[in-house]
Amino acid sequence: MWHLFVNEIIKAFSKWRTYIGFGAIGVGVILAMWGFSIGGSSIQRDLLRRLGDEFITTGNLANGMWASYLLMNTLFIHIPFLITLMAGDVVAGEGTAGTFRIYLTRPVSRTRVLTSKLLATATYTGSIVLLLAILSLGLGNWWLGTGDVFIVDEQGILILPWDLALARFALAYLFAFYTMFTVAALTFLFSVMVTNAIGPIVGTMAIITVSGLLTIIQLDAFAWFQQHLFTTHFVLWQYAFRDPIPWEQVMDSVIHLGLYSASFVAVAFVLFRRKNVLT
Amino acid sequence: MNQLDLEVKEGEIFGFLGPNGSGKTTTIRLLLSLIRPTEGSARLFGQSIRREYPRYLRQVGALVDEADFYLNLSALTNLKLLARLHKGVDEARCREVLRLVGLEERAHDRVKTYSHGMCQRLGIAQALLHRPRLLILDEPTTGLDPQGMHEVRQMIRRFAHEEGMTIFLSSHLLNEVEQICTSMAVLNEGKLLVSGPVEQFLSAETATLTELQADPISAARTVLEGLPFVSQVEEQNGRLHFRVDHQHRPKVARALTEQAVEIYSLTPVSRLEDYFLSLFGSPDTGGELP
Repeated sequence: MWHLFVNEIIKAFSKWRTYIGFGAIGVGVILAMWGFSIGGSSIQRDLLRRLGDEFITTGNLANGMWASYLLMNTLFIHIPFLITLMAGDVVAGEGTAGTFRIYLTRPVSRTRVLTSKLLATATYTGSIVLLLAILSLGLGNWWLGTGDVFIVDEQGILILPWDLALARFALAYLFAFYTMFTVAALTFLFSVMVTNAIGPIVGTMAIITVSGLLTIIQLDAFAWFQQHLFTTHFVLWQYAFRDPIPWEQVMDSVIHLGLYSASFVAVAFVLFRRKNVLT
Repeated sequence: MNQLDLEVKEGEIFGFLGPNGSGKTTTIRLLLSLIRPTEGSARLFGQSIRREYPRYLRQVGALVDEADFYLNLSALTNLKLLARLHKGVDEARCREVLRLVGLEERAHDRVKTYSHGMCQRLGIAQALLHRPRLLILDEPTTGLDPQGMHEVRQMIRRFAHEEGMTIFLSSHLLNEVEQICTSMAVLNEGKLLVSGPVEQFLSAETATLTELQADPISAARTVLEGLPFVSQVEEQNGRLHFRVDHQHRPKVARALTEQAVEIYSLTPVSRLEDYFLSLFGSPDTGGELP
C-alpha cells in the first residue's frame, strides 16, 4: 500500500493544478494579513462601538490570533473549492489521460488502487488545512503581533487568552480537516463516476452552494431537514471557540459528517470495482 | 462475446484478427479486467477474470490501444511508478527494458516530448517490466510510419524467439499477421470463425491471386482479358496480377505461349487477404480488414 500511495503523491504533484491550492492560500493569507495591518484598527473601532460603554479595552484586539480566527471563514467556500481541484482529478484524470490502461492491468486489486488514491486525497486535504493554519497563525502573529482572541458572535463575547487560544486553534483545525474531508469525499465520488475532472469540481461546488443556501435560510418548511444537511455542519470548527465547548453539538456534527463521508467513500468503491475502463 | 475458446501455445506469436466491431478489443479488455462481462465467465491461465485478476496479471504484460503515460514524468519515472506495482522489479530492470526498446538515451526526458513511435516503444517497454509469460499487444503498430512498424515487428519476433515469450497480437493489418504470426484466430460479431496455424490459410492450392511477369506485357494483358476463367487483371510495377482458380492456371500458361508471349514467371500469390475476402466477401481493402 505504501508504494501505491507514493505513486499517487508523485502523480498528484507532477500536475500544476495541485499547486494552485497552496499558491492561493499563500497569496491570500499574505494579502489578508497586509490588509489587517492597514485596516485592522478600523475594524477594532467598529467592534468596540458595538460593545458601547460597557467595556474598557486595552492593547491591540486586531492581532494575529484574531485575524487567523477570521481567516477560518474561508472554510465555508474557498478552501472547499481548492480541495476539489485535486480530489476531482485524482480518478477522473486517469480516465482522461488513458493511463488506467497501463495502471489497472497490473497485479493489484482495484480496491487497493482506490484506497491509495483516497489516502492521497486525504493527505492533500490535510496539507491544505495545515498550510492555512501555519501561515495564518505564524504569519499573523509575526506581522500583527500576538494577544488574546476577542470573539463576538451570536453567542455573545468570548475572550480567549493567548495560550488557551492556541489549543483551541489546534482543535478547530482538526475539526476543519474532518469537515473538509467530507467535501473531498464527495468530489472523490464524482471523480470515480466520470472521466473528466471538471464535472466533479463543478458538481461539488454546486451542491455546496445549494445546500449552503438551504442551510442559512431560516424557514419552518426547511427546519426538519436542515440539521441533516452536511453544510449545516461546516460550522464544526467554530465550536472550538465556545466556552464551554458544546460537546453534544460537536458529536452531532462529527456523526453527520462521518456518515456522509463514509457513504460517499463506500459508493465510490462499489462503482470503481465495477467500472468499465473504455478510455 | 459468444463461446470464445482460444488455445495459445507457449512460445507462439498468435494473431487475433477480425473486422472492426468484431470484438477483438473487447476480448482483450475483458481478459485484462478493464471491462466486466455482462454475463457468463472467462478464464485466463485457468483463473477467473472476475475475481482472480491480480494473480494472473502477474504473468501478463499488455499494451492496449495507444500507449498513454503520465506526460509530465520522465520515461524512467513512469516505469519506476509501474514497477512498484510488481514484486522484484527494480530500477535496473526499468533501465534494461528501455534499452531493449531503444529508449535508454531518452530515459530522463518527459514523455510529453516523445514522438508517437517512441510512446509506442515505451508502451512495449512497460509491458515487459515484469518478464511476463504472455504479452498482449492490441494494434501495436497503429499510427507508426513504415520504419516504426518494422522496428516493432522486429522487437516482437525477438521477444518470442529470444525471451521465449508468448505473444498475443491483435491486428487488422493482414500482412503484419502474415509476416510475424505462427498461429491465428479470426473473430466476427463476437464469435470465433476459424483458428489454426497461419500456414494453413496461406496454402498455394487455395490462393487465386496470381502474378505474371511476361513480355510483351500488353499482349499478355490482352490474352488474359480474353480468357473467361480469368478476372481482375491489373498491372502493377511492370507485372500483371489477376485472379484464376488453381485448376485453370496451366491453361493460362498455354494461352500465353500460343500468342508468342514470353513468360518469365507465373506465380500464385499466397496472401491472407485472399482468405479473408473469401470469409467476409468484401471488396479489396488494401491489406486491411474492413
